[in-house]
Amino acid sequence: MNTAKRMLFQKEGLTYILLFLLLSGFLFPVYWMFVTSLQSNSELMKLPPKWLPVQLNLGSYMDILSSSVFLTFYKNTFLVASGATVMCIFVSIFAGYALSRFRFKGSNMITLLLLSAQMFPTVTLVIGLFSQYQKMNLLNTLFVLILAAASTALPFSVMLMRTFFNSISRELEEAAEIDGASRFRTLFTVIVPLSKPGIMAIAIYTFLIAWDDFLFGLTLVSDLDKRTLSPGLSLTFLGEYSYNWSGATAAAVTATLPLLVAFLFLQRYMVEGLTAGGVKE
Amino acid sequence: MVARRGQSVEAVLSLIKKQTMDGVKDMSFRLSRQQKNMIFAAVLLLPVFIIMMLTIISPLISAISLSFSDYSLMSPDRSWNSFGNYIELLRSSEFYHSLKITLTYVGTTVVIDLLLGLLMAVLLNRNIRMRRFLRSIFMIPWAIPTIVTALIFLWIYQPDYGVLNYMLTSLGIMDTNISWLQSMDWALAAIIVVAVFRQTPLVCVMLLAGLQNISASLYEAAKIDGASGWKLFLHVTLPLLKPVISSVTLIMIVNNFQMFTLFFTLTNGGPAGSTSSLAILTYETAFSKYELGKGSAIGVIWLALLFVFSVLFTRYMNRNSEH
Amino acid sequence: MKMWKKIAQGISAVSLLAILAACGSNGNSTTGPSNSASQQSTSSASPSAKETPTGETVEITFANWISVEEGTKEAYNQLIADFEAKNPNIKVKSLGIPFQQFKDQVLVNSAGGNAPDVSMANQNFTAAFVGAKVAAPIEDWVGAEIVSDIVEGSKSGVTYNGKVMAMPWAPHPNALFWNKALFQKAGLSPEKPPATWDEMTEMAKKIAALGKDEAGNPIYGIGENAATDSYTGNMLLRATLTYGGKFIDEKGTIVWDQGTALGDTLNHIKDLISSKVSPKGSDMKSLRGMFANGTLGMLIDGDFGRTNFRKMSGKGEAFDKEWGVTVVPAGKTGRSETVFTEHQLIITEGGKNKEAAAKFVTYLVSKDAMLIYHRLNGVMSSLKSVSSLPEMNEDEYANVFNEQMKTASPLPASNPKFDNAMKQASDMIVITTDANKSAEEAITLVMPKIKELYNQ
Repeated sequence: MNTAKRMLFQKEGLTYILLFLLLSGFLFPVYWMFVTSLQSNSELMKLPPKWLPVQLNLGSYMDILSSSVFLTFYKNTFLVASGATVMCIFVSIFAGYALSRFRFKGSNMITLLLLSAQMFPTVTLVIGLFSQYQKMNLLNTLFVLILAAASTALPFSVMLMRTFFNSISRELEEAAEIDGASRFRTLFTVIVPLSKPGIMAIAIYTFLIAWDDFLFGLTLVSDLDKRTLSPGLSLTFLGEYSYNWSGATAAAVTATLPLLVAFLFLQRYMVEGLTAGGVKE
Repeated sequence: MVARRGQSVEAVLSLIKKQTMDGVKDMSFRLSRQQKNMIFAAVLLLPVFIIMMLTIISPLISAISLSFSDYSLMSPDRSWNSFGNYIELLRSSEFYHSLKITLTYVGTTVVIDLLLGLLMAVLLNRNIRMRRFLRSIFMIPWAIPTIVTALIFLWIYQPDYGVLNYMLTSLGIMDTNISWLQSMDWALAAIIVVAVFRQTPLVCVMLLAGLQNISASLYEAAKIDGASGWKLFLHVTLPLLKPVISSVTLIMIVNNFQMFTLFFTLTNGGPAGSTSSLAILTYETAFSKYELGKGSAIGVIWLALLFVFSVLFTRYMNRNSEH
Repeated sequence: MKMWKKIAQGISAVSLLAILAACGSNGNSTTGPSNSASQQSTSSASPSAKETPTGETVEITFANWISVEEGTKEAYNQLIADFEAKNPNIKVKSLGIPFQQFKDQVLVNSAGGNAPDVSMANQNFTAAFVGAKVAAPIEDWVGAEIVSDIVEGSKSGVTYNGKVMAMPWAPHPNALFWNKALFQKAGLSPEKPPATWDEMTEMAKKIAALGKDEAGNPIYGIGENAATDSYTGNMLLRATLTYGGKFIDEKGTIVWDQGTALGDTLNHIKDLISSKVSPKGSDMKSLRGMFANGTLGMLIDGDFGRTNFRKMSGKGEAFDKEWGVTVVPAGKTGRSETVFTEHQLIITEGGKNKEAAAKFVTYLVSKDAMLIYHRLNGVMSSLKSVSSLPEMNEDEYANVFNEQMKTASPLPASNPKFDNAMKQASDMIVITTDANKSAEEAITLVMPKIKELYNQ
């Protein structure tokens, strides 16, 4: 009894030790970003590094919050990410449902097509996209960025929704059909409410993909007042003359913070959604 | 003005939808159930097609057609060059060099992602204190945009003032500073570390979801049979996790092939070409040498490679899990 | 039934909102590039044709990388505000493109039919813009008077096939900055910078021998660029001039590897880096940071140095006391050999408002603008009439750079792949310092690639 208890304790101890090691490895860079942002650039270029921000220097944060371009970058990124999320949710509900409920020739082709669409280098794709959107008069709108981010997130989201719907019994729809409900209504009144965790998962996934986008935002938009965060950060902090570590990390903290907060609340939906979706193709 | 255009696009779309739906209703008495199903499925699949068409398929087609021409930003000649780009590429050592670097990068990154992600997922799936909090905390790196991650590590790796060298030298692990990103021996490894930092959390979430799908009764049954610890993990957990692992692997491979931001920001393909991945080679060919045709050809070869790989991979994984 | 309706309504409202918000901000700008298709046909008309009737406001787009970077945003904002105040019927829209991707993005934009009206450039970029036919001959638009006012060195750098294609804006001759405190510590006279190249190397070694400062920061004697970027290539090229080298001959043939200059330079840099007189693998941005924190004895840098050092050191103008600047010491050729990098302006071939663009370019190089830019960033002018103004030569700092400009050579950037060649050239430094190969091996490995780029 006693040995069993000790073994259990040891095992638990090992779990915590491993968790602690992993945690410190993965969170140290995050912590370092935070500490760096609280010091001035001249302080940073002095050894030894300050492990704790002794002299708080909020200058970099003041600069960012008082700079109107930065607020514009945030606003644009937020609009793009939300727009892409909404678009991706709808499209993948439709497509996932169709792929789950109807077996037809080429349905495997569609799956394969979706997946392989991701396999072409974005770098080359962007050239073709540029002249195409120029012709459609869509350049320099946030709408193209929404479209681009949604399409990046789509393959995974469609697969996830399909698996999710697969796990929902067809009897529910058959019952609704007997009641005379239209197919669209059935989808939205019966199926969608049951798929909330899956929808949450693809929402978070899409939002993060859109938030992370760099190449599309760099190429398809060039107006300063339509810039999104990643290219905006590159413009401001990877400039010609100097490294501004303090400013860059302060911007990074402000760019990441809203996501972190959201994560603390939404993370469990992500796991739930993926669990229910079975995360397989 | 664009707002109006946006609205008109909306209007047209809804009109099309309405007409299609009306059409479906009108025909409903004539169509068989099977046909109705097909029409409904087609309507549902329409949006995904439109989006893929607009964002991937049509530029892909134009890129493929470009890949057969000498098209360059310096001379806009789009005439057919009878596979010239492909022949040149397949004969150049540059291409194989980049392919090798890409494969090394993707292979190593994905393996480490999976191992660490699995370890993390298993630990976080245990009955531990503050589980929900810990799970959220571990996800943080994933919420940091890639370019920001690159910036942070640029600073951490800084040869003279970066914290990494400071830690390693003051712990006595090394006695001189290493210029991580400017060293031909270390640069690729340094990039892989950054990639792993950002990607492992995503892998962990997916595997965690997979773990939760394994019902506890299976474990109970195995335990009754006398299995424990490692054996339980090897004979119950891993086999059941296989489908998840295989799809996560595929996603990570495809994503990492695309990795451009990290390479471009951290090393720009250097030092002396030691991190010149395919994405960098494509960018350089298209934008520094202005050879858009050849740049597209790299993309086409890359697409073909990945496509064949993923078909084989999926088949292999499916066959194996059927055993 | 009700629920479906509610969901549908909610959803369409949200999606519409997002899409509207996304496009909406574009709605009020009536002269944006997106709807100027009709104007495009008229834009190729001769320059004398008046395109802008008086009273109507035109908007021009200005592709640049300086509008938000810390060191330059103040100057940028003042310049634009001053221009718009003087030209109430022209609005300038900033296209902020990150420096690292600037050239590529302007090329993609222009090839895709969405060229900015005016674009910033430097020698490396201009060569590409001219090669890709993005740049319009600037002399057709700003007039012969201004063109004849450009200082000769700059003018030859922007002349392609006999035509001036870009407007030199601010030349940045590279001169030698030295840290007086470190000179003192190393037993050198703080007011006496090196007079010859060899003396400079000796001094650098003495300073590096200090090892570390009190806090443990490593001290280096001189900063040599050794990163993977085209700027490192430019700086390698600068150093080879001192050893009597040359990149191309009059016919444009690459002669860099002829003679011993390139090998000598590489050996010199290899020696500095391997003996820790210069940091390993650093790019210019890191070197500036080290000079600003007082751990780098000497650095060869442009006239924007002062502003950057003030900001980076966190000491502001007080930091000026701690360093001095002088012309680059003479080496084998017996003259102060250096290059000048240069910010330039181009009017694009595809731009829709060339008249207004020309006005803007003319303003940016004018006395009014240069005085603002000079006051804030210490930069110089490429126009004879402006650079000779007393306000542009008000102190020792300006005098040194004006003096340096007399012997500085323009970067030989006539080939569109010059930028690429320079990035490729930086490999030679890596190969000698990191892979520890000999200079000859590095040259044999890399030079054929550079020649291949030039089809030679």
